[in-house]
Amino acid sequence: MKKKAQHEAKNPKDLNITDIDIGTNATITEINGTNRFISKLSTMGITQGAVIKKVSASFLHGSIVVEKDMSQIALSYDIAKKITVKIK
Amino acid sequence: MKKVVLVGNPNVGKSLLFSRITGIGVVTANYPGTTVEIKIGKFQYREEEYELIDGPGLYSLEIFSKSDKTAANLIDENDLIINVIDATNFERNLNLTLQLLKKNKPMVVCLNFWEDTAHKGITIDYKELENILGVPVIPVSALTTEGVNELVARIKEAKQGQLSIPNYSTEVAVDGICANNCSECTLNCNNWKFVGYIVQKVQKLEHRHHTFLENLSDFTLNPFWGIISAIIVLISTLYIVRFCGEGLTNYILTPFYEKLYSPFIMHLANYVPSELVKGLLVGHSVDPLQSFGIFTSGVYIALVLVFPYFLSFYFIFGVLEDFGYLPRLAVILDNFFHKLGLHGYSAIPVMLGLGCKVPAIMSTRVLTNKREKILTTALLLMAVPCLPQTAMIVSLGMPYGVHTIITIFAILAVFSLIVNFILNKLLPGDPTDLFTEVPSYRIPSIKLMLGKLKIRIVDYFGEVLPLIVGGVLIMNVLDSIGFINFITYTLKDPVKNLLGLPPDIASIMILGFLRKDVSIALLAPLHLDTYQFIVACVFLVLYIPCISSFFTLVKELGAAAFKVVGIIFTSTLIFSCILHLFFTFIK
Repeated sequence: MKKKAQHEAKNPKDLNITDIDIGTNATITEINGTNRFISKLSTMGITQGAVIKKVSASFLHGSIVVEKDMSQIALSYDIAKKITVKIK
Repeated sequence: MKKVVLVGNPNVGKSLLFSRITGIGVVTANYPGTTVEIKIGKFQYREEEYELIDGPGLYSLEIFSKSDKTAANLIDENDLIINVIDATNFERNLNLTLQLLKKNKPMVVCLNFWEDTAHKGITIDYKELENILGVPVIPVSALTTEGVNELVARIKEAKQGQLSIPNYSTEVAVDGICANNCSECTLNCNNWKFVGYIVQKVQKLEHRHHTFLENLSDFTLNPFWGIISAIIVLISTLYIVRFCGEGLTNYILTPFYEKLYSPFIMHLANYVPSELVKGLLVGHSVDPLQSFGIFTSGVYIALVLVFPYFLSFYFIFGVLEDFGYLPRLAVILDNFFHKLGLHGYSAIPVMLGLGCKVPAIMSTRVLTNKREKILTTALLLMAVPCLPQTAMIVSLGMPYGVHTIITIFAILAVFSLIVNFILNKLLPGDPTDLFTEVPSYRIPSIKLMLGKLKIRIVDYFGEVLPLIVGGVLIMNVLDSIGFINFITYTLKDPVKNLLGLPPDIASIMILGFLRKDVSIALLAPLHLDTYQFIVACVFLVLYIPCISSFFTLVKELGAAAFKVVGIIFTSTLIFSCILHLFFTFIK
């Protein structure tokens, strides 16, 4: 399973959540990190396969806000860096 | 008596619902993590008495912070669950509901913010949801109290739920297996698949245009306009607080004190037979800042000088809290706080610290680890004085000029940043990251804001007056047994050599532990020069937290509280000496 995920990450279509433009919808393809980290993100619905929309990004690697369904969630740049997405 | 606990995600309105059911006033606000303490109340329905418990919110039954643990324990300790769901955030809230079903406790589900669903274009078939979850589902609006009575009436119908999804095909079941294949997160990952399926069954969304509040939200999160609006919000907060505070002091409370209260109390004092008691009650001087009588200085400082600023700060802060601005400030300031080893959410305790340190220290409970709590606590204790102190520094500093006051605040800000920067380097562990929900803006309810203001005012007078009375009494007793003379004599030379301050400051330092604003007020009769005033203010603001914040600190941080206080005291002493040396040099 893990190997497959790594392979997917190399796919040129896959981007980081920090790379995509504001207002773009994207599907989360992979979250890098410990199980606890993945689990923590999943408590708010940030999981593999979830569709999110990037709402804002602060200057100089500041925090990023994404919209998941009706909620808006703020992520630090470092967390956002660990989330790989795919634009439809 | 059955014990009923309110469980739900943060910021779904549990506390307001608690207040509506029990009639007990509680502080509510529009940001996740407002409630950090457990509140218990009682209510009755048809002869049956219930106990209702409100605690911190949680997103999942897994524990990531101290407040998560408190919330999870509450579920296990009580008989019956009211699961509060934000109907406008239905999907995210359902994850916890599914986890709660597995607890096998009698439960009812309450869809709060029902009044908001219509204009947000959300339709939820709550009867269908009732069938799927197997527990009663009641739409409620805690704000307008609609549905609250039905909720209370149906608590007796609470039962252990059983998930039954109609036409649930095997295809979905296979798809429900977690793709990450990790044991720890199976609970959440599996749940999200079910959640998605349930949402499809019961929720319908209508397409609609962005509302004004949503546009405003995007604007305040915009990298450029967000910073501009943060600056405007902070400056106008300070400006309005000063304007309202000064207005109340100068035009209403000072005339009231001088024309009505003071003559009245002085007249009454003439009937007091003992000179000693009279001295204790009204003091010996006409100037309310120099008499130190309980009913003169005590009342003057608490009511005329400090209360107006307190009132106007909590009024403005209440608007920001209820509107939902604070989490946006956290997003905007995240980058800056990251440099200090913190994340943006620490901005909320620091903002609260502008008012009073006690609720500020308590609000650090939503931070996930001890390192963050220590750093945030040190920052909020040092970066800005509490409101009563600020009011005193401004009142007493005015004769020295505005630039003196600005210098004091600038020195405090720079010094606290230096200490935090060093602490961040010294403390083991890595900085944690911002991960929080950003709630929608809501138009604040005037009634709720006034209720909250009332609670804060009652707390203020309940806490301040006894401390001032006690403080003045203790000072008098210590003075009469010669203890103050002894301390003053012992500390005379060190204080003079190290800080360049008159020996009287030693006794003020002792009183400062009881009331920090009073300690600044006591500088008035000392006739300090500008440099001495700056050193004295910086020292008195920083050297040690006041007695109430000290005990709150011990409660929150345990033994680490003494370390924090020790670090602050030592660095303050060193820094004040350097400041004194610097001033002697430029004089």
